[in-house]
Parts: sequence; structure tokens; C-alpha cells
Amino acid sequence: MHPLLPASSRHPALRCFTRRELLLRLARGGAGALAAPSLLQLLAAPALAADGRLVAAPRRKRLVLLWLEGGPSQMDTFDPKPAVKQVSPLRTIKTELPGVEFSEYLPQLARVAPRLSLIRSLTSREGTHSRARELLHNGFIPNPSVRYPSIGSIAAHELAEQDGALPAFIQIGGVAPATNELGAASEAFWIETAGAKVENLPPGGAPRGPKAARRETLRSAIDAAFAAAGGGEVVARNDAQRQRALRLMDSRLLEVLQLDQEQEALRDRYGRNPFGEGVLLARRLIEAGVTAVEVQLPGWDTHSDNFNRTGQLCRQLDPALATLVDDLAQRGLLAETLVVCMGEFGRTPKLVGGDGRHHWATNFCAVLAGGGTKPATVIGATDERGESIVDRPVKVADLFATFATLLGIDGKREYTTTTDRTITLIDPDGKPVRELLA
Amino acid sequence: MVGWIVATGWTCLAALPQSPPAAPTRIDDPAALAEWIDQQVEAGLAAAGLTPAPLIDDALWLRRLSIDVRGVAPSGAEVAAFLADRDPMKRAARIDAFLESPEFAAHQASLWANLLAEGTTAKEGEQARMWLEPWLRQQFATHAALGPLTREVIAAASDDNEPGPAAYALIYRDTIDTLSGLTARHFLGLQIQCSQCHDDPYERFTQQQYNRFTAFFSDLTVDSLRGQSKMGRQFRVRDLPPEKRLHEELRRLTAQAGAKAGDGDGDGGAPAAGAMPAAMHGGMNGGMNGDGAPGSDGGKSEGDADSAAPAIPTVDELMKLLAAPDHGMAWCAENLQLAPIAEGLMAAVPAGATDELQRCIDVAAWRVTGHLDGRPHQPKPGETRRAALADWMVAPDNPWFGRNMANRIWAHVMGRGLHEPVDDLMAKDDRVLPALLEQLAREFHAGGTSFRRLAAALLRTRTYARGPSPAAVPKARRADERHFGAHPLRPLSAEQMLATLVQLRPELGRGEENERRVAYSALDRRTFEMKRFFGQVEGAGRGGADASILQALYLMNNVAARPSKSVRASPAAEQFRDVARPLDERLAGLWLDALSRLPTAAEVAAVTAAFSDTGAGAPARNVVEEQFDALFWALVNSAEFHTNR
Repeated sequence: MHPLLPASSRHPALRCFTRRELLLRLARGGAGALAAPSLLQLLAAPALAADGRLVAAPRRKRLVLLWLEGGPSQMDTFDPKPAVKQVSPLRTIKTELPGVEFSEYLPQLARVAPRLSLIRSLTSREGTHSRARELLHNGFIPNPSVRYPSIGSIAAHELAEQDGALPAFIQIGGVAPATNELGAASEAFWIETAGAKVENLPPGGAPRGPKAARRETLRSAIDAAFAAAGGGEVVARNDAQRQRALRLMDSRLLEVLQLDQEQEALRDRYGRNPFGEGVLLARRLIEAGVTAVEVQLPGWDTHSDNFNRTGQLCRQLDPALATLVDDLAQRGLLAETLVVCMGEFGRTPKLVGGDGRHHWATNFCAVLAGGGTKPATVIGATDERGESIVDRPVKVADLFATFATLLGIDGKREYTTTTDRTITLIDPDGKPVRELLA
Repeated sequence: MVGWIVATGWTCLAALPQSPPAAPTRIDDPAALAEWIDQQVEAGLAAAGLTPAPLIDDALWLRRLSIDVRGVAPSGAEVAAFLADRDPMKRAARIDAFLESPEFAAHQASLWANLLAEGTTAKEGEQARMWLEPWLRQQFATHAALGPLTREVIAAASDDNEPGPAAYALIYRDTIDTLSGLTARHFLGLQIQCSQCHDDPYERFTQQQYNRFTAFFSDLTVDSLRGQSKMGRQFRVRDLPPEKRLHEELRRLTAQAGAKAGDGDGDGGAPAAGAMPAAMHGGMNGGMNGDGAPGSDGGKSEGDADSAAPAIPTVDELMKLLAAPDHGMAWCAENLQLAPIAEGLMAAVPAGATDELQRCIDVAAWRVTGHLDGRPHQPKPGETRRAALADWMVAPDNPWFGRNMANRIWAHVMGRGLHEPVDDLMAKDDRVLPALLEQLAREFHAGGTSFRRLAAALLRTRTYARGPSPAAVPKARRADERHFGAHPLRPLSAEQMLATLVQLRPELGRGEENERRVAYSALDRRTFEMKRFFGQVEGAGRGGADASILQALYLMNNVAARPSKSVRASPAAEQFRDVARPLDERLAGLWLDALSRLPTAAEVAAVTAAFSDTGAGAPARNVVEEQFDALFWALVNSAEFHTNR
């Protein structure tokens, strides 16, 4: 244990093993000491079972969000309209779900469709990227006076261990996330891309030794002077942040980021591209104990050249999501990991300029899997041209109420913002979509 | 009909503030204005039964002033000189000097660029800043008043590669609903975007008022021009009345439908994909205006000065065109059908064309302009809509502009607005000293909407010089801050943090491209990239988020927290190496450089204890260097270093 970290007091029945202790135990106990499916899981939350064997402690729900930035075309992906040629020239393929077809761009997802829950009737009123992005991340209509937390931050805030070493919420790709009202502990830790160097993280863990100790003593004295002069609150928050940083430095983050620990064949299945590797990394992070991971895939804003670009993106999305679902299932993690795949809106059923589609929020799609969702389910339907919802519209607030139910979060919990407003975690106007719950 | 007029009129009145501004009274002398402000604040404190916090000393005051005005902490030398200065007017002299400095212009430019570019993604935001900041910096350097500055930002046109103020329109060319919402919020302190889709349940603004306000931007047309510039594409920003644009579009599309040609013709330049006329882009949530009769506004020309302007097509003509194959619907498909369609309209329109027609009528809905305070818009010949809007906004009798600017300037300086939230002047929640805000709004206009004049007065007040709240309980501290009896502690913004670090350790500011300074920021491009470590972005006096964990990691582990060559060569380092002197003198330079103050007795004692392991006698040179390194690291990693006290 790092000398500056407080002793873990949250679970008195569980000791906080250091990596060294754990490996010693394993060495002494041999293979029989292991009752957990994977070493990563074990390292994440080791516990002693009644018979003295090492097991992975029971864990709370996790979240993986695959974010399709720009707004994917629903006709060319999950809600094709083969009857009307003008809508899309693409062919469709039958999925493993009877009566359900996807576009020809998604063969692997068609195969794993029985594990998925698909919403085809998501609807919103926000057609601009910035507002829609916020709405679909936070579940609230954007309000400039409130920095709403995203679903990842909410999950991190509610579900993560208090003194976890790894960040509770990690975002891979996209742009650096903004701050939010829930505070620093549940903000997204940003990794630019799988394989990128995480800066300012010394490979040997937090610095130790007399020099480091003396630096800390001096800093502590300066902070004490500031606290005496009225800066106590700031010093306390700063201390908490430093503790998190120290734990992060001592954590296995750098190790978990090493994708070459995975089998080559599996890496191939996820796809040797930034997004595919990001999704594989997300699985590793979830296994290692991170509560929420968001992986972004930009480029879906196809005002022109829709078919080529959507095709290219689907060649990354299709294998990555399908492999993720299979992989989680195989490792016994699917039931506790909610996987969500969506963008901020859809695209116009009618083509523009011959090969483009503009924004369309009247009806668009979201794909869910695991985490307690009912598999092999399709919610909602659109008309034959894909221009309106004919069955079971789902508001974004409803979607987020569903997330809360699945993740085991009390969406009605209130908190106070920096501008002294009181708001709930989840928009109270939403009702969970019962048909999605297993 | 009468009932409707009365109802709409009533709502307009309900939206106005209680008392329209009275005739301005001038207090010319900033010191006199400052005194008057202090009297109001102190009376308010007495009425609330609160005791004001003690005033801070010269060192802390100088640091606070420097960060607020120049966006960077003062250097150690500046602090030492200020402390030694015996001039009784030294504080006033500092205020004026800082307001004249180039750092002030850069800092304000950065603040305003962040506000104006708020609705963009990070990548677009960078581009936006490259366009906006140089122009803004020039405005603040020459102390351009906020009225003319606003007018230029709202109404500017441009057709070269230095759009300057027109960059604001350029950023939001695809989404004029964002443009209208941000304009109302930043310049008037009004939240109107709730009214976009439906009448605001709090009865601030109706959907019709929203449409009529947004209609002022409907002439905005942005074309992408061919040719390279150092900023990338060249744009032309201009104002075209909707009829002209509508007809150009229709003509183009009929030509397209016939010839199946590629790019647009007759539009004066090849529009890039996505550079469609702004009014027709995503977010046309206007729905029907309150009139109820479809196209009733569409038939009237709004007194358009251009006598050659063709009449807008009738509904029948539009329907015929829309019935044409695919391409005919192209520009209508551009719009979003996000708002619920009024029942009455649906009944009037033949089945099968309802969506398309709705969108056309949405365009028509943005044909009628009207000011948010109910004043009619009388179009003048040759005047664009954006110019008319700008004139209305900055006029002294505008109910919101003066209040909003005075409130924002106050919030920037005092850490908290007189009215909170700063973005929403109509919010009922937090109003302290309303009469003071009214008076400051009048002063603002009377002083020619000058930022500097109001800031100079505010910075001279005792209120500005208060220390933090001494109360033990957070609730009591918030109460003190709310009534301006105490100054809130705020984190340094990303820009301020970076500037302060670079001042302390100049090597951080130099990249490979040392000489090619990118105009948009006071620091070059390489340091701009470093900003991603510092999560906080400057806002107008908003308190804030904790520093991100990336910032913590950066400060703990990066070379930025270790002394560099120039740091080791500095007078403060030399002072520390002089082991013959007492410790408090040896530490003075370092403390002044890093924290803009002298070390306390407790700090000196703690340092003595920490270094006592070196034993008796003068320590070896390398030990002294190590001690210096440790102190530098500790100062940079202290909570105080990244706090604006």
C-alpha cells in the first residue's frame, strides 16, 4: 500500500490485496486457488471464499457505450426498408431473428441478433449535433446553465467503488470530455485511442522513497498555510484528487492497456482498426473493474457519399460489436454488462443530392445487449418509407429511465449543481421501456 | 382575433423586466462610482445581518487583480515592487496599467472567443478561435466599447480569408437556431431556446416570439469559395432576403431535376456540401407561428427594398414543385420535422404532401421578424436584418443588453453575478441587490457601453478586495459570497493556468515553432495542445469544476513541475542558494514567483524541519539543488497555485 493512501475501510471483510500479495497467494495455492474465470477479474476484486479459496467478489453492473458520432443512417443499418427502392439501394440480409432484417452492411450483427435488443422507434426533437449529442449522452434536453453528467458519469458515480484505483469511467476516442456537475471522481478519463501513450503516468507506479516523501511534506505545509487562510475546501478537494491520481499511478491501468496480452485471433475478430481495438480495450477495462467505458466512432454525419462512408464505418462497427457481445457472453460477463450502441440521431430516408442524407430525429435506432435486457427483442416499428413511427415511440427520457433500471440506479436521486439547482440523475419524465427488461 | 392579439401582447409584457431603465445618471469618476457601489453592497450586508470579510493584503490583491484582468499571475518581481511601493494611489495605478496591457486584450479576447464559440465541437472550436481571437484582441486592445463590438459580431459580412467578426455567423452557418439561442443568451442574458418547440411553460417567450427573433438571422447566407487561404477554405458571409434565396434554390433544383447536373448554378459560387443556406438547415423547430393560417405571412413581402425581388411562390406552386421527382424535395428534406405539426394546418393541406409543405411553411415562418420586447421591426432600405437586430440590441432602451453586460462584467470580476445564473436574467431564483444592477446597467450605457470604464470602477471597490469567508460552515460561506461580503475562491481557468505556468517556467511556452506564433492565442500552438490537461474552460465568472485528474497527473509527474534552466538561473534560485542568509529570506523569491506572496512563519518552520536531516553546517551544493527542486515541485502542486484567491 502506498504510504499516503488511507487504509481501505469500505469492505472490512475484504482485504485490499496488493498485486504482490495476490501473486504470492497464487504461488502458494497453485491452480486450485483460482476459482475465478479470469485473472483480470480476480485482480479486480479479489475476495476470500468461505473455504479459503480466492474468488472474484460479486460485482455491480457495468456499462459499455459505443457512440456513433454524427448520426448513423438507420435505413442503411438496423431499420432497412427493402420494399421502397428510393429509400436505399442496399440489399438486406435476414438476421437470426425471424422476420427481422438488417442492411447488407451488418452480417455479423445479423448473426448475433438473438443476443440483441433493438429499438427502432427512438425519437427526439433535437436535430443539431451539439444539442443532440448532449441529449443522447445525458438524457436531458440541453440547458446551458447545467452541466448534466453523461450516463457514463452517472454510472461511475452510483456504482463504482469509492476508493477504486482505476478511473470509474473511461472514454476512448472522440474529443476530450467536458466537466460535469457530479464532480471530478466520476468524470471520464480520456484515452485518445487504444494504443496511445497515456501521458504523465510513470511506468513504475507512484514515486516512492525519501525524496518523494519530502516533496509531499513540503506541499502539505504549503496547503496547510492556505487552509489556515480560508482555502480549506479547496485543499480538501485537491487532496481527494491527488489520492485518485496516486491510486491511478499504482493501478494496473498501463498493464490493462496492453492489447498484446490478448490472443491474436481475438484481436483480429474485433478488428485491427482504432475502433475495434478500442472495443477490445473496453472489454479488458470492464474485466479489470472499470464501471463505465465509452468508445467513440466518428464519421457518421453523411451529408454526402452516404453509402461508401456508412459502409466503411459498418466494416468497423459490425465485427467489433458482434465480437464484444460474444466475448462478454463467453466470459460470463454479459449479464452484468449493459452494452449500448447509438448515435445522436438518424438520417433522412430521402436521399439528398443523390447520395447524401441529412439529419433526422423523428425515428432512429439504438441497440442494446446484456445487462439484464431481454434478448431477441425489437421495440417499435416505422412505416414502410421509414418516415414516421407506427408503433411504440420511445423518447430519450424513456431510454434513460430504462438504463437506470437496468443498471440498478435510482434515477430519482437528487443532487445540487454549482448554480444551486436541484436536479435528478435521470429525467423524471421518462418511463422505462418494460418490454426491454428481461 | 382580438383575443389572440391581447393574449400575445400580454405574454410579451410578462416577459419584460419590471422597470424599464430610467434616464442615465453619470458618475464620471471611477473612484466615486466605486464608493457608491460599496455603499450599496455594505447596506445590503447590513440588511442581511452579515459581516463583511476583512480586506486582503497588497500581495494577494495584486495576484487576484492580475489573474482577473491579465489572465496570468504577477511575476515575483512585480509583487516585490508593488509591496515596496509607497504611493497611496498604487492600487488605482495598477488597475489602469493592467487594463492597458496587451495581456488584458488577449485574456478578454480568449474569454469572449470561448463564449461565442461555445456551441461548437473541439475541432471546430479551434478553427473558430483562429478566426475570432485576433479580431477580438484588437478590439479590446483599442478599448472598443461593447456596443459597437456586439454590433459588428452580430451583423458583419465578409468575403475574404480573415472573417474577423463574421466568424461568429460563420461558425453557426448550418444551425441558425443555435445562433439565435446563443446570441440571446450571451448578449442579452435570455434563455429562448425552450420556446423553439413549444411555448415556454414559464411564459417567458412564446414560440412565435422565438421564430420572430430567429427570423433576424434568416437572411444569413454562407457560401464556400474556391481558393486556398492559410486558414483553409474561404467563405463569403452575406445577407440575402429569403425570397431571393428561395427562388434561387427552386430554380437550381428544377434545373437539377431536368439536367441531373452536379453543383449549384447561379448561386454566385459553388456551395460546399453542407454550406446550404443557413435558414434551411437542421433545427427548424419553429412549427407554425401563432397565426394559424398557412402561408399567410408567405404572401406578404416584408417591405423588401429590392424591387426586383420575385414574390414568394403560392402554396399551389410549391405543391406542384414538390410533386416533382426526387430532386424537387431536396432542399425541403434539408429541414428537420422536429416540432409537432399543428392540427389545424394538417387539416388544410392535402394528404401526402404534409411533411414537405410543413417545411416550406417553416421557412415562411422565419420571414416575419419581431423584437423580443414586442417592438415592431421597421425595415429600412438597404439595412440587413442582422443589422436591424444589432441596433435594437445595443440601444440604451433595450431592456436586457445593459443589464446583461453589467452583470457579466460584475461576475467576471467578483466571481459571481449580481444576478445568478448569469445566463438567464429572467430566472427568478437568485437576485441580490437588484437596484444596484439597474444602476450599473444605466452606468454602462451612459459610459458608452465601455467595458473598461465599468471594470475600472468595480476593481477599485472594497467589495473586490474582500478576503474569503471566515465562516466555518459551507452554508454560511455561501451566504457571505452571495451577498458579496466575501470573495469566492475559484480555480484558475485552463488559459490562466497555462499562462501562469509558462511565466514561472518559460521553457514550457516554447515549441519547435518558436517564432511562428499563431495569432489566435497569446501562447503558441504547442501550448494550446497542453490545454487538454487543464479541463476547466473560462466562463463568465462561473465557479467551477475540480481540476481534472489529467491536470493532477500532469502537475505531479510532468517535467513542468521541475525547475528548468531558466528557473535555476533566476534571482529566486540564487537567493535560495545563499545558505548564509536566514531561511525566510532564502525562500522569499521562490514564494513570490510561485504564489505571489511571502512565506508564512508556519511554512518556514515546516521547511526548516523538512530540511533538518542535512545535519549541522552548510549543506553541499547538490543537496541545496535537491532542496530547491523539492520546493519548486511542492509549490506548483499546491492547491493555492491553481486557485484564484
